[in-house]
Amino acid sequence: MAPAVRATGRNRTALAVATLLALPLLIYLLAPIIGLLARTTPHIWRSYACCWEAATALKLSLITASIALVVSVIIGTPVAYWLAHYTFRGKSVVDTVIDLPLVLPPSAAGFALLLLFGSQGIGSWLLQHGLRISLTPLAVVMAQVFIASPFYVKQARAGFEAVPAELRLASATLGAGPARTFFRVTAPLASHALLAGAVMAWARALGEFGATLVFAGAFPGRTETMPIAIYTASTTNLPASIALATTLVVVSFAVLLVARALLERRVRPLAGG
Amino acid sequence: MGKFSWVVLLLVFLALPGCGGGTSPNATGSPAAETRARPTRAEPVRLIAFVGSASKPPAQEAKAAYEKQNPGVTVDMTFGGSGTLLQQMTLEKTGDIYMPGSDDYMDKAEAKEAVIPGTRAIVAYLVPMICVQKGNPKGITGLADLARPGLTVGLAEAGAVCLGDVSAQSLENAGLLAAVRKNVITYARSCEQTQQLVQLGEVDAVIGWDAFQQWAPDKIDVVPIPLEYARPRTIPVAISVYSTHRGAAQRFVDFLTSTEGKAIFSKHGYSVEPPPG
Repeated sequence: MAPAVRATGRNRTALAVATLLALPLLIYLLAPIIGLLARTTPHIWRSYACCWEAATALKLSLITASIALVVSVIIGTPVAYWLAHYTFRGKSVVDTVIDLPLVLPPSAAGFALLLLFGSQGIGSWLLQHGLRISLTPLAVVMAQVFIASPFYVKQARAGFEAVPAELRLASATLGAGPARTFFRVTAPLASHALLAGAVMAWARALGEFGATLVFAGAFPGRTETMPIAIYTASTTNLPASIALATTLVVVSFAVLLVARALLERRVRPLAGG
Repeated sequence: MGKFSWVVLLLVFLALPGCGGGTSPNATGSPAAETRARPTRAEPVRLIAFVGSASKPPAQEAKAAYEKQNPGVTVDMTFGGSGTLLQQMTLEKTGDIYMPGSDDYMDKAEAKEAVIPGTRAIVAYLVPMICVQKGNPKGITGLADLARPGLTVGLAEAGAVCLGDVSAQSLENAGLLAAVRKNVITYARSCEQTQQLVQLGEVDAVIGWDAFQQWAPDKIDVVPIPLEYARPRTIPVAISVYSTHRGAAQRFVDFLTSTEGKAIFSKHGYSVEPPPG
């Protein structure tokens, strides 16, 4: 009995110390958000954030970020798998390409996209065929995919790398094809990392501002996402901007929390089995 | 993986029906489709306006009023920094109307031949003022007070922001530039940032525009600067060279500069008549 109690005691001390060490960053991350919430009195919120404009911007943000996430998962998963399981010449270059959007200032990324897909680039050809990309909702999604997909790819790659090669080999030996092995063995085992990456990418897409503003513009109802609405409001109406920011924080926090809870519950039996 | 995608799709679909109502009037048809459509009287016309973000509230009100009076005409507005907007407009060779936050950007647009010469009109005037905390706790009565020891001042950066050039010029005209610079603790990179410095209490005073007071009426008071020191600037508007609806664009510009249009800007705190003197 005694050693167990001592061990628990030691664990408790360790937990207390760990918690204490974790607190500074947690407080630093939370304090500005709490400050934001504290400034948003119900009166301010009612007068500024519950209007049509805010609801439209929020919906546009949620929809575009979700589409950007689906696109990132579809086109990002093969990249992550490829980087995780194959060695080839120039791999480090590909690796760095994935990192590029993380270091590129978003507004510079926006101009790069504008130059490529706008009238100066292939946009003029697309325009002749009736498709405009720049300054449309499509540009919002494209800007978000450009900025957010590396977050998913990096996590997914780490997840795929952590799946033991023997398990994939065993699956193949038992007669499963590559697709079946991927969907029944690799993906379920990496599901935690895939999820974490998806959550990160969605959150990043939701908060995307600079690239979207330059590439897609700020047309209310069409390309004015929540972060852009926060910015345009801040120029002349700070309380409105704060109310919008609070709304975005609360909604995205709730969505992330629920998504995590729901998905982890679904994923655990899979990963465990 | 599969299940996860389904949840995401579900989220998307949950959000979709609500969104349709809000965005469908604008969502149909890309700007390109409209700009290429031939403007006949019966056909609906869609104008694209690039508007400085500081003018968003009055501009949106003007848009709503104009669209109500002119069924079939839609004015799509995008907002942002005046420089970014000019870049977007010229890179994309699109848009019918350019309305930057101050006249120096219109000068740039004219130099780049992005707007049609002779279409420039004035929507509102920007009158330089000293902006102080509500109630003027430091008792600032004029430019000379900004040089008072212990006072903190914020200025827009000359060379970067139109307001910065105006502030520096006013102080130089008053012979106070060197003295006031000693009190300057920060230079702002935009008009909005300059206004936020005083609104958030970071400084005791900034040199700003008269409209700043209206953006935060319960935080900011203004102290006039004698007109011999400070030249007012303007919020201009002009028709883009890329416009494919010049007639319709001109009619909207006429509306902005009409009594009705000016009343909207006046309501939002802008001077719509040139200051006397």
